[in-house]
Order: sequence, then C-alpha cells, then structure tokens
Amino acid sequence: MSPFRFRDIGEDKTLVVNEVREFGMFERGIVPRILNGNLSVGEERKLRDLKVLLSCIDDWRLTALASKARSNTRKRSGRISYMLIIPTLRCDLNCSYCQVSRASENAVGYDLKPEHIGLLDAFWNEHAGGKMKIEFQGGEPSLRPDLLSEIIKKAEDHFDQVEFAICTNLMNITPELEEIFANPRMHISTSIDGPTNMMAVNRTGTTAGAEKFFENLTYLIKKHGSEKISALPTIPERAYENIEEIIDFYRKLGLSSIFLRPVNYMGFARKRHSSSIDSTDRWNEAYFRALNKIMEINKSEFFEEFYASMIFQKILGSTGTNYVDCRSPNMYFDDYCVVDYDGSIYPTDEARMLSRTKQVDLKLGELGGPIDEEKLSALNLNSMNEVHPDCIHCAYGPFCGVDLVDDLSRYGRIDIPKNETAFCKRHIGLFDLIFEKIAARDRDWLDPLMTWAFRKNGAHAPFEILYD
Amino acid sequence: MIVPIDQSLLEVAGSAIARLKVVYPELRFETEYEGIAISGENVEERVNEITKSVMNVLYQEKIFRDTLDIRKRIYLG
Repeated sequence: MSPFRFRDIGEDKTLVVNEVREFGMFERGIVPRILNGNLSVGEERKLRDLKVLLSCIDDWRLTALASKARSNTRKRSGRISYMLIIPTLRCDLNCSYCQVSRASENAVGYDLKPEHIGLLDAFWNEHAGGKMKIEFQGGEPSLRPDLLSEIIKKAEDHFDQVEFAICTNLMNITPELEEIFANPRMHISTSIDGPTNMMAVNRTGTTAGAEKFFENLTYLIKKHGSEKISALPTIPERAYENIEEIIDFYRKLGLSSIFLRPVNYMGFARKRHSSSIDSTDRWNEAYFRALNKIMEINKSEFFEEFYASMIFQKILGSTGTNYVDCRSPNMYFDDYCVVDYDGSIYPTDEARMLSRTKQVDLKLGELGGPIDEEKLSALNLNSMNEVHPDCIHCAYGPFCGVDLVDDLSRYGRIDIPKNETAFCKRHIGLFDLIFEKIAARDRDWLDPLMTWAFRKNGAHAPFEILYD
Repeated sequence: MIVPIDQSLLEVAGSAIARLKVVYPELRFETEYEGIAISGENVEERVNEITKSVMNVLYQEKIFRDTLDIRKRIYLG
C-alpha cells in the first residue's frame, strides 16, 4: 500500500487521493475495506490504477509515483520571472480596505529613487532569467509615469521576453500614461467593486469620482479592446448580500470573467474591516451563492469565476496554475518577488504590507545588497504542505497551497492548527463543494468548469475524464 | 462513551488521541482495551460527529504508519 488520503463526500461517497493529485471516488467504507483487505474486484483494480495498491515493493507504479512526487516537490526555478515594482506608495484615493497603508498623494519620500532603478540591471543579472513579467503596483503607480517609462525601457533592453501589467485606479489618464498603456506588452488591471454607489462607498469617496472612473474605463475599453484590461472586485462584508449585483454589473460592462475576492486582512483593512479576520464562513456562504448564479449564467453565455476555475484546474492535475497565494511548495524568492518604493525586497506583496504595519519584518534585503538567506530559509522551511503535520492527512493537500503570510497577518504566528485558519476553512469549503459536484456528476457545474479550464487551448474535454 | 475499535488500530491510538485533543480541546480521550473512551460536556449529543472524527483520525494514523517506508522511498529515493 502506498500513502493515500481520503475524505467523505456527500451522502455516500469517499474521495481517495494519492500523493500526486490523482483521485478516485469510491463507495463509503472504502478505507476500512482497504485496511482489512476486503475489496471488490472493481475496487482493487481502481486502487491499483491509482497506485494506492502495489503488487510488491518493486512495482513500476511506485517508480512512477516517486518520479512524479519528486518532480512536484523539487520544481524550484531559482530564477525570478515575476516582479512587482512599487514606483510610489502615494495614492490619490483612500480606499477603506487598502492593504498597504498607502501614503497620501502629496507626501514626500514615498517614491522609488533613480538610483534604485539604476540597480535593477544588476539585480536581474543575479536573480532573473530571460523571461520577466513586471507588475506595477502601489500606491497608485500612474502618479509616476516617468518612473514607469524608465523601468519599461530598461526591462525591454534587458530581457528577451518581457510583459508588463499596471494595477491602476484609472482616476487620471494623462498623455504620458496613454503612451504607456499603448505599449502592446502592457496589460491594464483595475478594481471595480460594483456599480457607482458601491465604487463611491468603497473607493472613490464621491459619486463624481466613481463616474469619472467609469468614463475612463469605457474610454480605454473602446480604445484598446476589453482583452487589454482586466478588473476585479474587493468585496467587504457589508456587500456579501449584494454579491449577485456585482456579477450582473460585470456582465453589463461586457466582461466575461470575474475574480470574487473578500477583503484581505492587511494594512488599513485590519482596522476598518476588523471582522474580516474571521468572516470565512460568511464569505463562503456568499461566494457559493455567487457561484451558483454564475453556473446558471453559463447555461447561456461564457462567464468565468477566476478562483474556482484555478482550483478546478489544479484538481484536473494542471501544473500551469501557479497562483502564488495557493501553491505548494510555495518557495519564497524563487520565481517571484516585490521591490518596494524604497528599494526594499520582499518575498510577496502581502509581506511588504506586514512590514509596513510593523507586525513582522519580512524584508529580505535591498536592491544592490545581499538577500537574507537565514530569513528566507526560515520561511521556506514552512512553505510545503506536503510535509506539514496538519496537511499530510488532508485529502485536498495535493491540490491546495500554503500561505504563511496570511497566517502571520491574521494570527501573528504560523503554528496555529491549520484547520483553524481562514486559509484552510476557505479552501476546504471550496474543495468540498467542487468534489460534491464531481461525486454527483452535476453537469450544471462540471460543464462550465471544464469549459473554463480548457478555454485557453481551444480544446474541449468532456466531464467524463474526471471518472475512471 | 466508548468508540469501539479494531485491535489493529490500537497501535495508533496514542498518536490519534494527541491529534483529537487539538480538534476537541474540551473533551478527554483515553485508550481502553475495547476502544477509545471519550468524556466531556455534551458528548452523548455529539456521538455521530465525534465517532466519525475518531475513526477518520485513527485510519489516517494507520495509513501514515503503514506507509512510512514507502513514503520514504517516494520522497527520498
């Protein structure tokens, strides 16, 4: 017998998962039957296919299992290929859930200095490969188009392949910014929390501000097409009951995808949305309601929910999903890092937020200086759910991830039982929901999920690939 | 209340109880000859839920212990 995990699903099924994300759905009671050797012929065959039952210690299945398991856990690139750069911490909005505790628009000393930009080449030579994606975050990066242009030029000269994204509030579109947006390598990302009233409450502060945002958004979509622009909402607890409205609004804007996200318990959100520390049950209830609505919509039109789609792709065994807040091993400063406005280097965006709010200093170093390997190792030693005592028995472990920074933000420590964390509750809920749909062969859910997963390469796999 | 368990699971009862104490800090667990004895407030009202948890944790520990050698071969070669 090789290691396997299990979980009861729905009324009468049990999910069995091997170490490498392969799974099967069995009749309830399968686990004692495995342990007692009391299996039907069909069950035995299925468990051999799953590599849970082995004929002998030299069974080829064990070699196949080991090879896949090792490649899953040793896939460190060691080359940064995704960087967040913060040109300025200043912002011209005052969103209640701001994660970074931004500085006010006219504050002094919160912008990247020219000498920092001068150090990027040396940093890339040491830590990056030939491919790079740079995401400009803030503050509001559009307040410093001069710095953006300089970094873009430097990166285009340095890398064989480079892409950019700017996360902007779209409040001001200047001619300089227009030039940056027109770069074919640039993608624009913005926040839309819902209709004008929701935008005014959450972000712009005034209706006029929200109207200006929508005017700018419409202008950009008309000019560049909707493919160049992506949007996502941040949903505070007071808006959970109106989550369906947000979905309708995205469709009205002509968008075919949404990433439903609760407020992140970081930065200003810790004070102004303090209940978000443990609103996971309420979030799951609203999120599942929203997914039900989205599945109904998909009976007549394509409309994707990013997070459910990403999780489902993991269940299908995809290694293409590399979402940094839900992966394992989640090695820090391996393929991803953040350069803050003062040249500080952080392992993740949320890590810089925790440092800024003085909870825990996760700064790994500065441009031009060494990386703090001791701190990095301390983080990385805890970044594998494959060996975490609370996760090694979990049936969803092979599909799930680990997010130390979220644990640190909410609980101030990383060693509380995982099943008590918001991260675990949120993901167990979503995995349970999806596997219940798989167990029930619920086409209303499985057809859209398969369409989302296979959309990108144009192929369409039938839902039957989920079964033996 | 006693959750009766197979003798083959008794060998992992200690590690299972260590984990169950984390999940149910309000309850007391002890190994008895015929199974795992559980006491504490409202135990009788939660028999099904607690029994299911106890059995699942015992099975997990048994699988873990019985596959340790294979696990080492998978990950360490």
